[in-house]
Amino acid sequence: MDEFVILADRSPDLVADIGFEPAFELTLHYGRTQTEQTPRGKRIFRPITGGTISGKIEGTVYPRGAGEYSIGRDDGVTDISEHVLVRDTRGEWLYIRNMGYERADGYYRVTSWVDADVRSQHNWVLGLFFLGVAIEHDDGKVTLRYYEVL
Amino acid sequence: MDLPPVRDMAGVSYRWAFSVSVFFAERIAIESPFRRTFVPAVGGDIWGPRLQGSVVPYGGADFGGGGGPLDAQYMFQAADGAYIYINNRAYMRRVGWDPSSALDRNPPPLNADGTIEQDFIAPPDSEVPLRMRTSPFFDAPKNSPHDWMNRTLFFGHGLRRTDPDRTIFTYYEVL
Repeated sequence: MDEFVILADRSPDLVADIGFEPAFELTLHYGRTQTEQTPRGKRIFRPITGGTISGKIEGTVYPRGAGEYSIGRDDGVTDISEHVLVRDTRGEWLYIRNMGYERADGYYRVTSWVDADVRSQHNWVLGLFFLGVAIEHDDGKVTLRYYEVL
Repeated sequence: MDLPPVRDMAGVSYRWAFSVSVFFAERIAIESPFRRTFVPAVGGDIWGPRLQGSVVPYGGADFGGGGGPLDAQYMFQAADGAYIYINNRAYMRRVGWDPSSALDRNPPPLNADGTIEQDFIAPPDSEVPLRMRTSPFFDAPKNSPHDWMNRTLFFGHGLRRTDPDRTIFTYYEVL
């Protein structure tokens, strides 16, 4: 496919830089885990029952109706899928969508798309996504440190 | 090729994994309530320390909509012949864009004969400064040298180029 090879594009000068800047930190509390073996793998459901957010967004996690709906794969990796609703200290609502991987070696990383009201003080998140580095605590709570991808 | 050095920023470890140039020839915009733009990938090149190969010609497209994330689905073929699916979810934010204007969107006017214009070319970022970042997810064959892509989070940086019309993506793996 030489017609699609432009050698100048391979110049190290065109390796565009990327970076990470701390944005906010989310701690999630979960209810009881329910797993079912499905044709896709093991469906892992955990309701989100509360939590907090701090940093550039300060507030609490709405405890009703959000949850984790991940898939445990045959190779031991979990495809993380999670929906979170957050309310900040002024009462403004945000939606956080986590997608990523949790591995047996402790690697737990997600990409998160965040929705805010265009009229809110958090509209700076619109259109962006964030890297979430997750730490699972012994009591089952999860803390995600979020970084804006620069 | 040797692996590039691991870098650290604010506690995040990452390193360059590979780069991809994706070539385009057409853009089809459907001004639905959430606007959808279909942009097929006509081919491309993959190079770097952890993957080499090509973009399968007409093996997929960006189907993004909503004025929200780009949502491209297409295929790589690695140098060893393996096919790798990419779902590239991305954002393109013009530098200086005001988020409070996100809902202010009017479709362009119709042509004089009532038809819908379709010859839009995304400008190079030298003309319209753009912040393009991507979060690709891959499906690679298991029990293959590419299996690591099935369990690794990536972030990418996109550069728009014209003559020919293409975007150069630089992908980093998050360690």
